[in-house]
Amino acid sequence: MEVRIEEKKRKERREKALFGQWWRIFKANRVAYVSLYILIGITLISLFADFIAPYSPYEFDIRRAREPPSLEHPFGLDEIGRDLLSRVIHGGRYSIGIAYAAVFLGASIGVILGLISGYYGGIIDDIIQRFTDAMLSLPTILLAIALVTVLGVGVTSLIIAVGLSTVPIYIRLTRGLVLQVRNMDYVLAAKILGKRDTYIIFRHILPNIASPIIVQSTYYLGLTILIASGLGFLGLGVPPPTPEWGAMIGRGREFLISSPHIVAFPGIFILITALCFNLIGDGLRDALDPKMAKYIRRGRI
Amino acid sequence: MSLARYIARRLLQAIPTLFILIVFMFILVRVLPGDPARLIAGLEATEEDVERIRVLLGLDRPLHEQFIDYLTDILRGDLGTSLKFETPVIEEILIRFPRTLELAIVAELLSIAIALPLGIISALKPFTKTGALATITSLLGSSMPIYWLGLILIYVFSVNMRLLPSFGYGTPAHIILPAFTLATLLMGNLVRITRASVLDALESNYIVTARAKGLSERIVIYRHALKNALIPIITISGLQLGALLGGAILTESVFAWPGIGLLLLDSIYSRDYPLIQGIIIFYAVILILINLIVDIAYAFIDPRVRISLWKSE
Repeated sequence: MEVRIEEKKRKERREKALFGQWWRIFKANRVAYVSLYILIGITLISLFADFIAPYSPYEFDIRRAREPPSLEHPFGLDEIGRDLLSRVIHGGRYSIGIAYAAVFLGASIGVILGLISGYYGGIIDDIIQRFTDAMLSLPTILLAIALVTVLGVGVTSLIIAVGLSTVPIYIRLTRGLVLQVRNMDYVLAAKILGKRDTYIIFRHILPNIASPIIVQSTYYLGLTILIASGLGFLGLGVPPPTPEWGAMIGRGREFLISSPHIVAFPGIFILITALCFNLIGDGLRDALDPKMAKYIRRGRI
Repeated sequence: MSLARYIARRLLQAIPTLFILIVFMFILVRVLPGDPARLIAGLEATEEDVERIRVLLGLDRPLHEQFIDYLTDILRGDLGTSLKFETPVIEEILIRFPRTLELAIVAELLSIAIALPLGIISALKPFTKTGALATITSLLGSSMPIYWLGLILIYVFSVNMRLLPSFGYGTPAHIILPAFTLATLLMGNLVRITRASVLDALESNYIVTARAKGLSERIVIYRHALKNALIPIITISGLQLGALLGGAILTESVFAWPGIGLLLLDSIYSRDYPLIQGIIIFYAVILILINLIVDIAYAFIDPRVRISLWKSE
């Protein structure tokens, strides 16, 4: 009993140390570290949009439509006279929220199918891979457009469409990683011990391939923001008057010549958010990559 | 394995892929909520119009019959009739596709022309201004909402400076802005891959040998390193044509470029389902063919790949 508790504690300490090491490398990458804070900031602002936004994102004053930025309205007014700053702040909820939900959906389905495909092989693998081939033969955005055509406009269908369109990429990634570790000694040992397949997959395989999946997911978050807002821009995303960033650009483009501010501000936020995800992805990649960890132990960083 | 057999095998592999996609598209139109014929005809349409569309789409017959007809039509190159234009879908596609291809090829060349030197210089001299520029390009390239960039470019170069036309198709000046916008989509990746493959090549044994032989640094880099580094770059830029065709949908919408992307959007807005289906299947066929050609070209350029093919048999 004593020994067990002691062992558990030691394990916890070891895990803590490992996390501390990742965090140290991640922090050493100044750009990634700052990006993480900017992203947390943008996320918090969108979460508490109701308290932070100076005006309502829906109240309009058609007489003051397309007013340029001023002290009263720092981002100006949009095509029907709504406060653009408030709409951008509220828009983060949709644009970033949709990206998180879509990547979560795509990763959940894709990773599970990839694990099954890679672990069992054989005919199941063949079937899943042919489906993946078919889905990968279309560019991601076209796949998302095809799905959204069927599902109709709305937040939920946008999440499902964009989420499902990332599934084949996740299947390929996970399957490749599983094939690398499937025949490792610790997996074979677990098999000899007679452990169940689900136990081996979730206890031995998944933890060992989690880091590259996490890194890729960070990049996909950036990509998903671009795809989801692209669909919004094309009028295939969320219905008006929802303040989604892409849709705001799509409706503002008619007034580009006289009032470029309506297009400019939402776009800057899409760019910054996608940039943050990419930079954090770079930082995570360096921190979670075992090759980099070796350098740390040698005291090079 | 000979190259001919390799091509034959790859073509065979494409068949199930395409078949699944066709089944998928077939089901897509039939799982639409409500009556597709009614949906297409619109709410104001009379019962006769709806019936006419139902017969036109063959929706009045059993499912398996519909599917077999659909499949044989596709095999004969018949993708159905557009509801809006009332012309064969394939005709419409064949008019529009060359324009998209034109845009995609110019964008591809443009991105290579910008990304290749940036990537090479940043690999050879990482801590210079060009190196920093390469890093910034690769980051911005992969984070840029290209439709937004397109609008900003229109504002700067067409509205403000009055240098270039903002939309349309025709003269060489019309292609500059859309091609640059689309090229941004690839630039990020291309810079990163160029840098990585040049660095890889510089670390390899044949470079050590070349240096040990006493060759000048210039010859080592140009003759040995860059030549080998080019192989993965060519492959990647070929494979990225798919991403380009996807990005072209957004670019064509921004610049009213009358290609296949704009045709797809129009068909979605007007619920022209035969046209939507036809375009998506066409995209898939084109992309599968492109991947095949890239793979074959790859085997052709790189003797190592040829040997590994031969060994795998």
